[in-house]
Amino acid sequence: MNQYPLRGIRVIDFSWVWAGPLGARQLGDMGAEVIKVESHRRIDLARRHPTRIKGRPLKNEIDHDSEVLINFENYNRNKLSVTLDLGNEEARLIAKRLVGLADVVVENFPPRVMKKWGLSYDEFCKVNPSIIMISLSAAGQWGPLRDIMTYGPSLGGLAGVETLVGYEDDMPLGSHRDATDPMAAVFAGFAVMAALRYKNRTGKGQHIDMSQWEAGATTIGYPLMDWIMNKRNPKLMGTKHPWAAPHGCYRCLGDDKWVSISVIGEEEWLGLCRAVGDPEWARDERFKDAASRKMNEEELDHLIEGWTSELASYDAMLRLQEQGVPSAATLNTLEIPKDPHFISRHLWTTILPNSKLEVDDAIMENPYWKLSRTPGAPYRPAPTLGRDQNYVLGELLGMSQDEIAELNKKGVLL
Amino acid sequence: MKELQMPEGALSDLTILELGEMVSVPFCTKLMADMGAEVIKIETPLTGDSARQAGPFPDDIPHQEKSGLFLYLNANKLGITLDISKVEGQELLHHLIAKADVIVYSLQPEDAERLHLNYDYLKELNEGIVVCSITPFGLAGPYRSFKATYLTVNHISGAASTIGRPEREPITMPEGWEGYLTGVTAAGAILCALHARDMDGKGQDLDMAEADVMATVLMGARANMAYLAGEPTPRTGHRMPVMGTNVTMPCKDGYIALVANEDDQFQRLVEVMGNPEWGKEEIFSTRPSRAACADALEDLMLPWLMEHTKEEIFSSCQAGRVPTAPMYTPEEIANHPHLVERGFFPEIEHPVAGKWRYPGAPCLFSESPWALRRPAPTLGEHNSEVYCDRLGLSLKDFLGLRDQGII
Repeated sequence: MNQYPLRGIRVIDFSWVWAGPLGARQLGDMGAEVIKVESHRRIDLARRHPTRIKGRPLKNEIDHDSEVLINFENYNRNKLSVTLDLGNEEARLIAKRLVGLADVVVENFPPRVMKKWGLSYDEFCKVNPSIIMISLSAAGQWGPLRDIMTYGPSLGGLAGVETLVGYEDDMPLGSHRDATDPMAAVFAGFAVMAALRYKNRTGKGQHIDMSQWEAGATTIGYPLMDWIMNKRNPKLMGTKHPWAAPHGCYRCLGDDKWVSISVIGEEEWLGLCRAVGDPEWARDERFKDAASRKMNEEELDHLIEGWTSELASYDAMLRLQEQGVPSAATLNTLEIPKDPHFISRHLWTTILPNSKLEVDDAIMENPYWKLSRTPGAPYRPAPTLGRDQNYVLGELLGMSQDEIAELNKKGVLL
Repeated sequence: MKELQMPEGALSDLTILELGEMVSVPFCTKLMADMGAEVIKIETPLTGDSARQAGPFPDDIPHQEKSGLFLYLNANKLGITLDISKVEGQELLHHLIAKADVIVYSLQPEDAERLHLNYDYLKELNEGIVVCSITPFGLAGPYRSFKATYLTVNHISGAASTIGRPEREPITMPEGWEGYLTGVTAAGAILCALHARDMDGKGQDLDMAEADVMATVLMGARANMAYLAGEPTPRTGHRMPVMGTNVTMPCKDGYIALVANEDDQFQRLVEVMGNPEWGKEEIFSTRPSRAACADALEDLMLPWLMEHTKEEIFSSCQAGRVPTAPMYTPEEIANHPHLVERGFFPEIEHPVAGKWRYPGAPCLFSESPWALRRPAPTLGEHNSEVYCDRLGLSLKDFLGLRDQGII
């Protein structure tokens, strides 16, 4: 057993942007052959939307034959790319032939689109009765709101994640993290592996209908159960705790530098007092137990911030952790890949030497599934648009160079 | 309680042991139980999983069999009690491990070793065992022994720094969300490890961490971009202006996630709003310029929004192909006609807690459906079935161990 446990599995990935491609990436990271079916007529947004590179002007025109952007690299490394204009009947026949050779199909087109093209699960079953197909969509393949169109924040809004984010005295802000996209990706990775297991045991494939709305809603268990049981919607609380204090974040040295502190039990309170150096105020009647501390939370927070504001956030975190207090420095996205703990966890890696990024110095994620014996890895840079046409059409489908040239002429391979 | 007869689940050939509390570990095994795996949840005698004290409780009356979070996360599982700190308890657990496919727990290496539950020990009992640990910071690294809560995991992972108003303290993803994200990522990883095992008979160990998952699955793409830009992802409050029109806005009866990023989407939004004069302004014609004057744009949109309800805005935007949707509350989700029709809230009766609806399937499988087959176990509900029927303990031995508090 080499390090790539999914070697031998073939995936046809029709999906684009984030959730679908990242879902398929988990399989590709573990050695599955993932063939991305793209089109010059509908270029993946992750190929198109420029990201800022320090010291350079923001790029508006990208040559997709020679360059990829960082998000595309991160979501699509290890994959192959072939371009097919699925609006063309011949292209659709080629797509079906590919599915005939595959184990899994991943797609996130609007539900009516795949049907219209004759690329539905039922049609794929005719060429491959045991195909596993996962369709990601906002609201599922059927239902009254089947055809809605959403992006990250609106999907998060539907799923209820976003109304839970905000300060006590403010409107719900939403997280603006597009959380439902990467969350759907990891659900998709799980779902495909479950279907593969079923197929290995029974020989049967199936159609997986993932509504990102529903997947998202499974992650807000407590608030949903509180409504179901008590007809109650939650109040926004920022970082405050319903009955424990201190709980929140406190300013440290520097601009927008904070440390988070969660004192829930007595042991943690005593630890906090020790970390702060057993100050006079720690013995104050107002802070003698959990209830009193909660009642006098504002004053307590002020006193604690008097201590943290003289310290660097890492320093405050280490001093508190030494005394058994749950606390963490507030790291920003520039800091997380440089943090010594995260470095030791090998969460990021440099882009591969022959990748097509404009720069040599960039990072991308390592595989999410942390397996000790069969860890997988990024091993091939993300493809430029249609890079692997010869392999996919020539080797896999056995087409001659002349046949491929003819298809090109007819615009089938756009 | 007799299990309902259902079509075979995708994972019905698996036996999974769970030593978990609250969200991460239980959600991980729940996902597999929902797909037909037999999950045996192992709880401490008398008190059990701390989620039993977390609530919510019907009418706010605490009861260890009526905690909504526990009932939701542990449906479809068998439940036994066991004191694994005692040698007799460890021996019983080893008998179960010998016949299991997976064990999922949250133990640091020194604790796992002390309890004889470390992978190197267990693989001698069962060459194919997959041992998955899910902890806040993982089993190795400078922070591995750090005490953690949802708050601190959000802060260390880069998430909090990007959530909230820029002039105020950072806030977080909803409490527990990090556990769900880690649980589902771990579940995929476990199935991959089983796929490897099926090929050569050998298991392996997995080290999954909440801080890792939040820093990568949630924040990883942002970190990649920040690295290139030389600047961290900003905290931008109720909007994400770099995307264009991507903002939480109030409306007549609540809040809306107003999204119209692309230029053509924004033009259609202007039409939906009745083609106001300001919609023709040059300054709103491109994404960067809309981003630059987000304040002004929001002031102009507000009056129309305040005259319309969430559902009115949702349907008129969708009809106009603008990807806008309401910010739903739990109430609105629990009663939404689309979700109800999709069967997203199955109901099941629990012997003590009664009949409740629960959030359902994250996705639908056409051949091996997700199924809610049994309610969450009462504390120790399946002790005699597992210890006597399966492990062959005599009734006398069983009662003896129970009296000693081992079971």
